[in-house]
Amino acid sequence: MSTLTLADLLAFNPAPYRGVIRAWEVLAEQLDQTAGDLLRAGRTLHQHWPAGEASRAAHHRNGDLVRAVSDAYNPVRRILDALDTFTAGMVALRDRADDLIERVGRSGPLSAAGRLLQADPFLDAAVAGARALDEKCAAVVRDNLPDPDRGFVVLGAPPLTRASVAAQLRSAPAAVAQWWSALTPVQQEQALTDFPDIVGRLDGVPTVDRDRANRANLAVLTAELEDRQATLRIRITELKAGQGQLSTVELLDAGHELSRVASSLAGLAQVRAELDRPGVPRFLIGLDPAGDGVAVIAAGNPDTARHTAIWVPGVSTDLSDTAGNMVRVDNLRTAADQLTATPSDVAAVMWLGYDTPGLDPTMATMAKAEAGAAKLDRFVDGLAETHNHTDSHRTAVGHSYGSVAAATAARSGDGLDVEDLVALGSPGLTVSRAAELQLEPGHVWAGAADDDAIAWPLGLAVFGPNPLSPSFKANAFTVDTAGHSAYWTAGSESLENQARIVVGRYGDVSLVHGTPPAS
Amino acid sequence: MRVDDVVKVDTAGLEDAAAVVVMSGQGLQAARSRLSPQLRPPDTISATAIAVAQAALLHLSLVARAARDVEGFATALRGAAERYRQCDADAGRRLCEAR
Repeated sequence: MSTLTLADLLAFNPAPYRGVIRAWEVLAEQLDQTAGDLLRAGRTLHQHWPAGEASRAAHHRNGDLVRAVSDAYNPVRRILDALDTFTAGMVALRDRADDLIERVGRSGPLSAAGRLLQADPFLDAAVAGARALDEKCAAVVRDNLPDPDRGFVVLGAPPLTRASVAAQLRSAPAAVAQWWSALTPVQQEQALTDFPDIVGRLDGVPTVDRDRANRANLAVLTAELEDRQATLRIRITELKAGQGQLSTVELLDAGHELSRVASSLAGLAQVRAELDRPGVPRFLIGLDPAGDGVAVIAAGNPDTARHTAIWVPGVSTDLSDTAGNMVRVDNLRTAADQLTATPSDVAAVMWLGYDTPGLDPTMATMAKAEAGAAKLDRFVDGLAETHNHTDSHRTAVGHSYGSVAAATAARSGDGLDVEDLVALGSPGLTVSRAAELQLEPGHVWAGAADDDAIAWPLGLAVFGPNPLSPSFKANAFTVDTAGHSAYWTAGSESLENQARIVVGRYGDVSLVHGTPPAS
Repeated sequence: MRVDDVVKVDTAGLEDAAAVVVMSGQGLQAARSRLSPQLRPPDTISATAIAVAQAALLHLSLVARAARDVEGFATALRGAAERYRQCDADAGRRLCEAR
């Protein structure tokens, strides 16, 4: 039962409580770290000590220790969250009570002020509110006390179900991030081990965890496709040899499927080769070989880099283009990183996260751009949630039809959570003025080579006016490369200008026309 | 355990794993020492402060126990690595077969 008085409320000092909250937070971080270390040690233990009774006992012991440490994590988090709510609530009540007393004190003689205060219902309500806060917080703390003998086992988190993880696919990235951070290390490990196909797609889960999930998924998908390929080859051989019931239709179908499987496997092989490439660490943030396939690969970690470029490709891009696209992304990242004081200040993401239109009538419609825009918006919101810095700077770089998709995301709903949007070889940005893209003035940029056959006005004028036109009010930057696809040539002014935008050195961008924002 | 199983043990890797476990135990122990005076509010007026003081005691006691268990596990892993290393001689191999 809380016995807080008005005097206690008025004397409430949040500073010591904030120190206590921080201490509980450090304890939670340490428990998280320890559980993670033990999980990693357990994985290597299995490789180094694979067989025998003692090995099994060691694995079992390691699992027990991970659970003991991991189960302590959530109770600690709940205690610090309750303390945080209590402290904030007490400060709000105290400030309102202080204000009231000060106002009444200014209103006349002391005795009159005292009578006014006694009559004011807010002060009673404030004390009642403080007591309620106090009791609620104390109850949460007591609910999260460990058993002195059995530890936190009674509070241990239950295993996750596939349905509960899949439900996060419908949550906003902010909610996903909150859900993920509230899981115990053991639950996170279980999600990564049991449901990598879902976790890898969850915008709002940290990049390193999505990378682990998607790499595991890459291995599974490759194995499944190789099995299917072997089965189809046997079936085709049987059909050709007349061992099965000869059916031309079945033979044709099997042949087509074999071709699709081979194409998917080739695409996945390119993704794997890029992940294995030495140099800047790669992170596989998204993967799906279905249809033309999607893959999202980052060069550098967008959660820790200060500047992140999200490169959005255009027409007829699929997994088979991964190697070439990553050269562009690498070139952009390298050029931008060289402009910063600290190495690894820049990450660049190849976002083939949507089904791009083929060289067919769909390339002149909005359907694929709209579908892609929704996915891009969600992906970028996820990056904003998982980023470790408060001062992160994101730039969307749309190429060709990719600029249509990026612009559609920017003009829709609450906009695209980037500071800058760069359009290269763009057929139009679906708006009549840069200001409609919901970015700060001066943060929409466009460039196109003179002989770019896709860029407006030479291409299809169905996506709005030319973004290079002065009346569009984008900053048109200098391009010194030729054709539709050479904007990321190392050493070119086309690339250097993008790099300057990506790191916010706007004043250094060489412009044809426009006004750069302050750097 | 068979001889084949013994030769599969990578003793250097096992020691590396033990080193990670040692570090995690030490990290937990250090956190316990450092945080011990900081986890409870200085006043004892509110119900919250009283509950948090009790929670701090119980949590720290369990963290200390977990740290000791983790360090004990690391010692056991190191011991196992050392014994397997000794088994790479013929005498050691016979010893393993006998066990």
